[in-house]
Amino acid sequence: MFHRSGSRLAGRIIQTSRRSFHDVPVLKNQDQYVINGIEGLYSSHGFQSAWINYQKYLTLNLSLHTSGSENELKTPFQILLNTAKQTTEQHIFHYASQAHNNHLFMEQFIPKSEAEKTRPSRLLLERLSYQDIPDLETFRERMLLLADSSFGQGWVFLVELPNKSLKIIRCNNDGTPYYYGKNQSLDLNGGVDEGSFEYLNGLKERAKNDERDYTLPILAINCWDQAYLNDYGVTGKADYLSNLWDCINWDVINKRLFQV
Amino acid sequence: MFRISNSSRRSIGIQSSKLNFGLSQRFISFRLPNIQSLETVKSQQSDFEGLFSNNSVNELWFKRGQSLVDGLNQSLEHSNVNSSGTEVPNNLTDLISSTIQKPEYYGIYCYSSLLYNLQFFVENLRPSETTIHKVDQADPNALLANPVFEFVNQPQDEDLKRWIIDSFGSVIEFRTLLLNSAKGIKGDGITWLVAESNNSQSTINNNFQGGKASREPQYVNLKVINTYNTGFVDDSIRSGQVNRLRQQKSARLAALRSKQLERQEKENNEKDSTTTTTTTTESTTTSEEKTIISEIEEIDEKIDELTLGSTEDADLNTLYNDKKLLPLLAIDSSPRNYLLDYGVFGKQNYLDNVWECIDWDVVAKRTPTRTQAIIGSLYM
Repeated sequence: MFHRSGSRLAGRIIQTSRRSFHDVPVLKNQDQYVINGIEGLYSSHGFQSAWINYQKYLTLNLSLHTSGSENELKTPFQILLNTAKQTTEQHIFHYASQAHNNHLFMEQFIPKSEAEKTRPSRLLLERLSYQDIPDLETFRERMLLLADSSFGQGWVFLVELPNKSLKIIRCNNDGTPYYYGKNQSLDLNGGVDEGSFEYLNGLKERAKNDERDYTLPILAINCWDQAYLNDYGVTGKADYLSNLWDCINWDVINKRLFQV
Repeated sequence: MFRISNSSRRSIGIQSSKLNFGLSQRFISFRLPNIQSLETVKSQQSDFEGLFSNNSVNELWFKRGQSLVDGLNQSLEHSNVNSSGTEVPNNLTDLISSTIQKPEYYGIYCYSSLLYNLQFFVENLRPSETTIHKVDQADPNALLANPVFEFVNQPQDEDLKRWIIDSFGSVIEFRTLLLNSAKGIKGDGITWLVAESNNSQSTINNNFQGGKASREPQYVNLKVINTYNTGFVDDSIRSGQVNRLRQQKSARLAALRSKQLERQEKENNEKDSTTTTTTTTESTTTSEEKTIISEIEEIDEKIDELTLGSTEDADLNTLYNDKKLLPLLAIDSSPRNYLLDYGVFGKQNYLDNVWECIDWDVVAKRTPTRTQAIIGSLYM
């Protein structure tokens, strides 16, 4: 009796004192990409910089900043939700949000010759057509133009709203698609128009009512310098975006969509 | 499709800027300025000693600078500012201040602000022989390294040095604050050393009592400030926008409210006489007005004197954001600056090296006359 409870206690102690640190997730075919890059998108060096090194930078910083805190054992996704509203934890939010977004992003790509064999599902195209996006070409243009026309770092997401309709959103800097208060879609640096002003007021209103956000990302485009500078140079964003589209593994994207 | 439109956009930008120079004088078109130290790097195919490789200089200044210039010329051309007959400012600061509050000129503002920031940054750099770190790819251990407190480069100008010490405590404290502020920027952004005027721009304008000198801002403090993305450092030309929009909205609502009251009175009067006219007055209330009226009622219910102020209140009440800020020194800490030479882990190394490359002579030239914070200034 005593012995059993003792061992159970010991087991619990081991469990609660488990230390853990954040590390770079291993992608499918990662070893091959490290050697050859992703054909049509990244060289070997470019892939290592955008994934192996940058993700290491994010996760190492996340470990350093969360060690010994309540966030230590949480996944980047849980941490970003946990810190999104905390004004003093925004540096942690940054690493968590970027780590999560970058993982979501990198999972989407395969070499161009393989990517050509995948297609967006009929369900996805049908959903897009409800949003006034009649075909894949228009969809491509909308996403890439939004990505190319924004100043500074950021993300462009195709997201699924709770009513299962799709929407394209832009998140400046480390913005996250999961919470409207941290979408960071507005740029108030230049002139502020009435639309932005109303949007800002709307956000305030939603936050005051403790409204919850159940938006989920389907497709992510990384517009951070870290994602393309090595292979495409400072002025190579347009080329990078164009190549990126050709390497999307639509099988991954199709699976992210809510299936009935 | 996307690709074609993009490349054609760029070539149009270049062509038109050439055309403008040759043919039309009314069209304003910008060119990438000559920065001597960078031209030397390019012609000698050497590195920017102590900070950038030759390739980085080419990417950061010649390529990016040119694409910003093209973007600016193109957005000037596409907007109707050139043809509208109004004078287009031919320098960046005036262009920025005339477009910063106008959402329709967002593109012009962004390009001119980015160009101004870039030029301001590279102009206060010079090659340096003393380097803290080798210009090389950093590894993950760089994140765990102890901060470097040794440095060689510092302001030579006695007045500037004195002012820095009086404002920040010491040169090393200033260096730490400056570089840590730069490190804190995660995306694109610039850290500035600015001279801050003692009064807000509006106060200076309001208290104007003759005498040209009193209208000029007086610079008392030095401050370190961050701007993000296309942000412009001098807040005195930007601030008050959100508040102005709110005032416009409440003025519109008030006008509608008085209109509604009038109508009600009229209705009441007319009810006594005939019933036919009341139906016509009701129909003139459009559905849009009705929603706004219901909005008024909602707002009336929601006004709560006990809650903390909003962003607009802060915008209005913080005198600080109306202050004239004169930039003296810019440090660009956007990822593009260190990714090529220092790699993903190299931001701190890059920043340590940037400090060594600050051209303090340029900074001293930009520094305004210092006004000592003395009680005498009250008697002006």
